Amino acid sequence: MHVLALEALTVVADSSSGEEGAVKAVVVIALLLAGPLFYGLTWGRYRNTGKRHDHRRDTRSATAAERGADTHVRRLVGRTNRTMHGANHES
Amino acid sequence: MTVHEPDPVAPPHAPSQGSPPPETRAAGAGGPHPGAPQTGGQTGGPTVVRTDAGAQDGLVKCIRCGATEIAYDIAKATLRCGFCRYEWVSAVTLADLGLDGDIGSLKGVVLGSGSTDIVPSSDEVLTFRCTGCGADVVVDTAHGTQARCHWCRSVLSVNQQIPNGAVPDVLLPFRLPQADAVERVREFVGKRQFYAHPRFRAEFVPENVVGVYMPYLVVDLNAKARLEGQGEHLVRRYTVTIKDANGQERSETRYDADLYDVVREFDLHVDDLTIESSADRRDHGAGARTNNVINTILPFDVENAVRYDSGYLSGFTAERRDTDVDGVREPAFAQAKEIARFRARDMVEFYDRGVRWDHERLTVVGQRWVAAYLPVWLYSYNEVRRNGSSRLHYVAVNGRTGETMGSVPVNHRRLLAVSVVVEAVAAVAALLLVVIGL
Repeated sequence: MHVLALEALTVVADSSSGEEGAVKAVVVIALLLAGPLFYGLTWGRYRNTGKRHDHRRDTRSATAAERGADTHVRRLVGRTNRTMHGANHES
Repeated sequence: MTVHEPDPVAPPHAPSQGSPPPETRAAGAGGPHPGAPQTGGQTGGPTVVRTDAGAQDGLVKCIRCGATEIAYDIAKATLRCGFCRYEWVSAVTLADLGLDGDIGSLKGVVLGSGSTDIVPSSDEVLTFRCTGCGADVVVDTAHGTQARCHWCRSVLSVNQQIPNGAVPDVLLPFRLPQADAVERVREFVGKRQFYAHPRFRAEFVPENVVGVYMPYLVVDLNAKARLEGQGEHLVRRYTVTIKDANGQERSETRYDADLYDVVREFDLHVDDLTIESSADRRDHGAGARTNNVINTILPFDVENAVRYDSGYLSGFTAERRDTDVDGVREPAFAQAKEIARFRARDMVEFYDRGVRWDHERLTVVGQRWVAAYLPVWLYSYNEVRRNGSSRLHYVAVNGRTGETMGSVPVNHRRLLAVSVVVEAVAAVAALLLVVIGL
């Protein structure tokens, strides 16, 4: 059954045009991964092994005397990435 | 000054002021006054604030009737004598001890006397002479700070700090009654029944939840943070048409951005950063014991902590601190750095494409450490697997806020069976989508 589905996946990728085919391929892949995904999510919900206290949000903190410098370096043109490469301010 | 307040937890209710607090017990050398006794500081070493001034060891008696049957009444939030039913509240708060307050003026290292270094050779087992009947009573401080005299049934307590870490500076009394905790545990496990291990389901008795005081080191930090890096600000977003190798055309999105060198410096005041001070509990690996569950139920409202008094421990167990400030300093500073980076997000909103911090520096100007016992309702279940190994699963309820988290052992066979069925159904659906949807 999976072999069939994988062959079908390649058919999808080849036949449909551009973005429509890509969406379909993503849906098919998601469906094929449904079993392991279900197992992993349910196991995670029961065992909560990844849960930790988020000290960044839950600890009271105050900032004062904010100061800084912003120096323009150069203009970047024609970038293909939607966000900055290596951005870590959210981590 | 911008202050980050975490999401509000259940507001604490004021303790009942029905009976006048026994100031005589805490009076004398100690008692609440602004300048709590301090040592050190001048020589460059840490300033130690004594938190057990006036504390008594041995028989701690009710001031009205002299009995030693003192326990904490959670519903009324008072200490209560079991004989004459006299109630009182502990008057000495964290602020009274001089261990809470303006963080901006903190300089150097300030330690509560209960958080000073553990002397490895100090005795864990203390012997007291019971002043009620003269018998020698042994208190094993590894497992608690109280013992009952087996002759006259009086309760002997350890309230003065001893250098083995058994007596903390402050403790936070339970606010959530046991019945509530049992309900929360039952509800948590109730939502996780279907794939739970059958032996766990058979042996699940939520009434077995116990109240435990866990040891933590709580720190206030006065620091200066400096972050340097680069940020990008979006200028223009547009689409271009590209011809690929096959001659087919497709469209792609392109972005123009301004690159900046970014520096941000600010003073950071961290209030009540809480770290486990038991080496075993610091291990969150979720291997043999699911300690991460207990970590998840943080935070506690430590600002409401009161000076340590063994009367609060009656009916509960306590785990002893075995890690010094030096052992948790690095993790604490690392967490503070992460908090700095988190707060810096608000200062770089202009850089909508993102910021890459290359250098981060946190200079700690002042730090204030307090050893605290924080209340946890704990349900534990030992899962013994077929290969002989075992894992201790916890369901923990925060004794102040009621936050609940737990680990339930999984019935792998049932979960695998259902996953296979789900996979089969999904694969058929995928096939149909491809065949019919084309």
